[in-house]
Amino acid sequence: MTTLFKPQEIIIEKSVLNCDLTRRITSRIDAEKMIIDDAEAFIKNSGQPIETIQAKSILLARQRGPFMRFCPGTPRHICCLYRNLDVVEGCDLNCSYCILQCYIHSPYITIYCNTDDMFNELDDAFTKRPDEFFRVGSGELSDSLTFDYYTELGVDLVKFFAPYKNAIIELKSKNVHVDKILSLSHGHRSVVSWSLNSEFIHRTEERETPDIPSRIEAAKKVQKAGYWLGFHFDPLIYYENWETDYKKVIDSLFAAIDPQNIAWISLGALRYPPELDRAIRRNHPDSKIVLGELLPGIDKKYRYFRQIRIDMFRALYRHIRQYSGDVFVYLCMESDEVWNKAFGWSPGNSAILKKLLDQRVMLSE
Amino acid sequence: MIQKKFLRLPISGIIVSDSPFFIPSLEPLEALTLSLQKLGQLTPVYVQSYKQSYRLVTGFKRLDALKQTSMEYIDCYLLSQTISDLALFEFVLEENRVQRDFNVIEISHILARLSETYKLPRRSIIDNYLPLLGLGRREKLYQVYISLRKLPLAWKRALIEDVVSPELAWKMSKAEEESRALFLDMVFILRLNKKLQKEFWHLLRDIASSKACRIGEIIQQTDFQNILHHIKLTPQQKASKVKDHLIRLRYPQYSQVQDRLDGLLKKFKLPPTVRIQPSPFLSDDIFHFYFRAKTTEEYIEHLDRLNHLAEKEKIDQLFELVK
Ligand code: SF4
Repeated sequence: MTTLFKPQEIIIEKSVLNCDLTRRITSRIDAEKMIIDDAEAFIKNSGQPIETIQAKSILLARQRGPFMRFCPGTPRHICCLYRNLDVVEGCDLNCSYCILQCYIHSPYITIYCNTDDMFNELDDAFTKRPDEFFRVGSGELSDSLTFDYYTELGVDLVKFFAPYKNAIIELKSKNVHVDKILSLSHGHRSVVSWSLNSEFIHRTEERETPDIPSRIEAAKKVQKAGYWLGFHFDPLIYYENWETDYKKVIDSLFAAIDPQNIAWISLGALRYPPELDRAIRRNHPDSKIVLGELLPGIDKKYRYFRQIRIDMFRALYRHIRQYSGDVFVYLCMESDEVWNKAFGWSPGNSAILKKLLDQRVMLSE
Repeated sequence: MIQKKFLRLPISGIIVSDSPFFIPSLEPLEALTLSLQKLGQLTPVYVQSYKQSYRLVTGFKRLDALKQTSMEYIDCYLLSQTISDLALFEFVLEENRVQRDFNVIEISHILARLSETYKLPRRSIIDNYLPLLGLGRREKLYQVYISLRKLPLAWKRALIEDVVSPELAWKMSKAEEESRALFLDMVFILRLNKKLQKEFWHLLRDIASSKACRIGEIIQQTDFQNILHHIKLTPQQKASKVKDHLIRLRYPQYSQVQDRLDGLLKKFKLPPTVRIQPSPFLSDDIFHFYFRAKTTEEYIEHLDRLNHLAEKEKIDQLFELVK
C-alpha cells in the first residue's frame, strides 16, 4: 500500500484563492501556504530544477488555456481520438517510465482550481455539439485518483458527467482511492480504469504505486457500484518472463471482474521519445527498461522491435479472448499493419477506432 | 594595479610546497628548458614574502624548467603581503590566461582549488569562474570538468590532445579502471571520432548492464579482440565491424532478422543499379525497390530480373521475413 502524498508547501495563485477547490484542498492539507500573483512567472523565477517529477509542493493555479484538448496522437498510427482534461499536472507515484518526466516543465504538482470554468467549457462543448460523442480522460497528465483524497475531483467529475448522453469521463489510475465515488449516482457516464502491469514490473518500475492485487480489489468495489471499468496494460515491458507474468495478471483480472462490465482493455508497448530515455537513466538509474530492444521510429520515438511488439500483443490478446470473446481490446498508438498481425483485424483508421470505443459506452436510446 | 618590486633570488630559497596557487599541469617542460638555456629567463615569476622566505605565486613551470638548467638565480617580482590568497589566485589565472588557454586538466584543478582551497560556493564558481575559463555557466559543465583531474594519466593525455571529449571521460569515470583503459585502447586502435566514441560507449554501457558484466569483459571477448587486432583491416573497417558486433549484442532479435535479410539479398545477386531496401530498423513490412536505368533496354532488363525473382518465389521469402 502506498502512503498518502504530503506536500511540503501549498502555493496559491491569488486569482484562485476563492475557488471551491482551493478551499477544499487547503482545508484538508496541513502545510505551509504561500500566496503568489502569477503562477507562470513564479515557476519561471523559482530556480528549482525541473528534471525530476518528485515534486514536493502543490501549486494551485488558474488554467488559462482550454481544459479539454485532443490527445496529440502520432502520425501513421491509429489513435483512439481521446480528449484529455488538463486539470491536474504532475503525479506523486514516480513510475520509472512516466512520460511526465519530460512533458511537465514545472517542479510542482499543479492543480487548476478554476473548475467552474472547466465545467462551463465542457457543458458548452457537449450541448453545442450534441451529435458528437466525447470520450474524456483526466489521467494523461496525472493519475486521475492519486490526489482525490484531498481534491475529490473524481467525485466532481462523476457527478458532472452523469446527465450527459454524449460524453463519458474516464478516471484512469493506479491508485485505490475509490471509496468516495462508490455511492454516487453516475448514470453510466464514467469509466473507472486501472493501468495494470505484471507484478515484477510493479516491484521494479512502479514501486510507489499500490500493488496489482489491490488495484484489482479496488476495481471489484467499483464494479459493485455499477460503473463501467477499463483496464490498460500499458506500458507492456519485455523481459524474460513477460508472457507468464502478464498472463497471470489477466487470469486474476478475469477471476475478479465480469467481462460484461469492462468497457475496454488497451494494450500498449513501452514507447518513448529520446528525452525520456535520458530522464529514466538520470532519475531511475536502477531501471532496466531502457535496456530493451527499443529502436527509433520515423517519429524518433523509441519502440520495441516490431516483431517483439507483435508477439506480445498477439499472446495477450489471445489470452484475453480465452476469457471473453467480445470484450473490446484495442492497441494504443500502433499501425494498421501491427493491428492486423497481432489481432487478425484492424479498425483501419483512427475515426473507426473512435467510433468502436464510443459505441461501447453510448447509452441505448 | 598590482604593486610589484623586482628581485633576483636564489632558486633554492623559493618555497613551492603546499602552494595555494599551484595548478598541476601535464604540459611538457622540454621546450621551456631549451628556451631558458638558449635565451635565459625572459619573464620574471611572481613571489610573495612568506615565513621569512619567499613563496612562488606564478611561474611553477618556469621554476621547474630552471632547475633542469645550471642557473642558480631566478628573476622575480615581489608582490605585497596584503593581497589575499584568493585575489592572488585570480591574478595567477589572469597571468596564465594571457599566455595560452588552460587545458582541460588544468581547468579541472582550478575548479577544485576554488572549491577546496578557497571554499567558494559552487554557484559562485559556476557564475564567476566558468566563463573566465571559456565555459558556459552550467552546473553540468562544473560537474564534468571538476571530476577530470582524478582520471588516470592516459585519459588525461587523451583529453589534453583532444582525442576524447570531457563529457565522455566523465561518463567513463564511473566505470572501473580496466574497462576505461580497454575502451581508450579501442579508441586509439579504431581511430574513433568523438561521435563514434559516444555511440560505442552507449552500446557497451547497455550491453554490460543487461548482461550484468563489465564493459572491459565485452571488449576482451575473443570475437571483439579478433576484430581489433585483425592485421588486414584498416581502422575504419575494424570500426565498422566492431559497430556491427555491438549492435548484434545490443539488439539480438532485430539483428537476427536483419542478418537473414542480408543473406537473402546476397543470394539475389542484384547488380549495384538495383536496390531493395526495408524501412529503417525493419519498422514495418514494406520494402522499397529502387533501380536506375539509362536506356529502355536497361529498364526492361531490371524489370525482368525482379520478375524472375518473384517467379522463383524469392521475393516471397523477403516478405515472409517481416511477416
Ligand atoms: S501513475 Fe501515471 S502519471 Fe503517475 S507517475 Fe506513474 S505513470 Fe506517471
